[in-house]
Amino acid sequence: MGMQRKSQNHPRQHGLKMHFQAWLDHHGDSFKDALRRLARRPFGQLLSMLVIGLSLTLPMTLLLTLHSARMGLAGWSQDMDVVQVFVQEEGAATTRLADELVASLKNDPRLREVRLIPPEEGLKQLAQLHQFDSLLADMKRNPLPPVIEVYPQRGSELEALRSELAARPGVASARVDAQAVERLHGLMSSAEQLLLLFLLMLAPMLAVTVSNTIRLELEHRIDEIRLLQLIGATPGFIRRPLLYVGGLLGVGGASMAVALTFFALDAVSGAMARVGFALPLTSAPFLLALAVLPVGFALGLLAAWLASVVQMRQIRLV
Amino acid sequence: MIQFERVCKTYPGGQVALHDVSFRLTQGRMAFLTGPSGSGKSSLLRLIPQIDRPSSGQVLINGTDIARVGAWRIPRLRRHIGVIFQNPHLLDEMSVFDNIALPLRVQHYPRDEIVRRVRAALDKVALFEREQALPPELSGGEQQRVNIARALVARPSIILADEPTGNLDPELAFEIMRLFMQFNAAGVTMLIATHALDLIDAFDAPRLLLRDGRLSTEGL
Repeated sequence: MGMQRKSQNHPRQHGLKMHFQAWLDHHGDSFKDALRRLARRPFGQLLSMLVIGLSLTLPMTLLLTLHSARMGLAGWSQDMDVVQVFVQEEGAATTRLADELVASLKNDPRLREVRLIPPEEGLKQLAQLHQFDSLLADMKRNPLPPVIEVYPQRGSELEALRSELAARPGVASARVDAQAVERLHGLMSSAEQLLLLFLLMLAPMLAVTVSNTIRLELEHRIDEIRLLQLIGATPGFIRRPLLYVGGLLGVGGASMAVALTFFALDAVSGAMARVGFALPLTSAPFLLALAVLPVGFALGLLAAWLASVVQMRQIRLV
Repeated sequence: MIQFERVCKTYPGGQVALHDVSFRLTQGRMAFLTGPSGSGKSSLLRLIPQIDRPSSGQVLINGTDIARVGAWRIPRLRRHIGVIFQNPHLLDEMSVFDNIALPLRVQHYPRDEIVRRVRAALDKVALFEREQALPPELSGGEQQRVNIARALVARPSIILADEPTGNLDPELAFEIMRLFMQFNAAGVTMLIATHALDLIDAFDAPRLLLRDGRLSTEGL
């Protein structure tokens, strides 16, 4: 008999498989213990989860609203995609040239719609748009050429189409007018990235909330921890239930954030629909939910590990 | 085996608890550690499972100088030592069964082995019927028996007891001492700190007498 003495039926004598099974059993026990610890103070734990949930909800809702709006804008801008083809000035032959161009473009399957705007209609539109009535009334001749508005099918490559149309005989120039939409698109994309960064910056909030709970849990359990240390528990064994507490808090907070975000998105989309802008249904909220839950669990776990390592160093056997 | 070689223990305030203490308790032997309150009994016991470290000298457990044991090996060292305090230190939210099973769970024993060993330990301390009771439902004597069962269940090679019968009536104290003798007869090294001289006189075991941190031995 000695320190190296092998007791009868020591776990090592049961082989690696049994040892692994016992280790798994301890994980199961630790998980149940963590649930019991959370259930013991349900109000406090729910409050912690709510703090985590609320802190993540605002940036998540804004992010998803912006993303949906950007997707909606993309579809809307595709409807608005138009190439303006300016017909070459050929005196009396200009109108015939324009009609021929329209006739040839109407047979092109890549185009959704082709519309001719004669110079008179163009002048009228200009007058309405800029209130140049008196100035235009004084003009002796209409300076505008016939313009053909070409609406391509959705998803067409606009620049390629513009180049091709510009190269056709009888065409003075062709241009794409989508700069404003593109600029808005770019702005929204930048805002999305900023929000994502903001969301990442809020991750420490989750960590602080979890750490605080673990600190309280350790203070509450100090006698148990001292006893476990005395009977030969490793720090990993002592920490295991606390890690599950952290992970569960993290995933609970993330679940609350997901639920609140879905609720807020529904409200935002209802409000947008009332002003005539329907947010398209995308997979982004579901993908974000799928990402946030494991990230919440991992962050909670990490925060609990850090908090328990720091706190347990201060616990001395008495 | 427990061996102290010229061990001194001085606390940070300058209070000297142990002064040049040397003794050797070979494997399977039992000794009483006795002396008046404040003589250093608890300080001596606390050095063995590394609750405290000596200020100088060596504490050897089965030939290993525990001061040289790395922090990561301390839990494994402690698994070979069962500690019984005067205060049972039971976890009130756990049943008697779960309290006793703790050392086995710490060592990753399989479930069926845990059940078998805990029941055997409960049987030894005559608490078989109380396995599902919570510690606050037990009397002081029953709590101390749970404490003893927990210290023994993983079959440590050394048992340290610090005033284990301090809160018990004489009859129960005597029963518990008889129980210790049984474990010692099974080969467990036992060091029992007590100032209950009438109890010590009833059992034939060497004595380590501490007075003001200095040790004298009888029968070792």
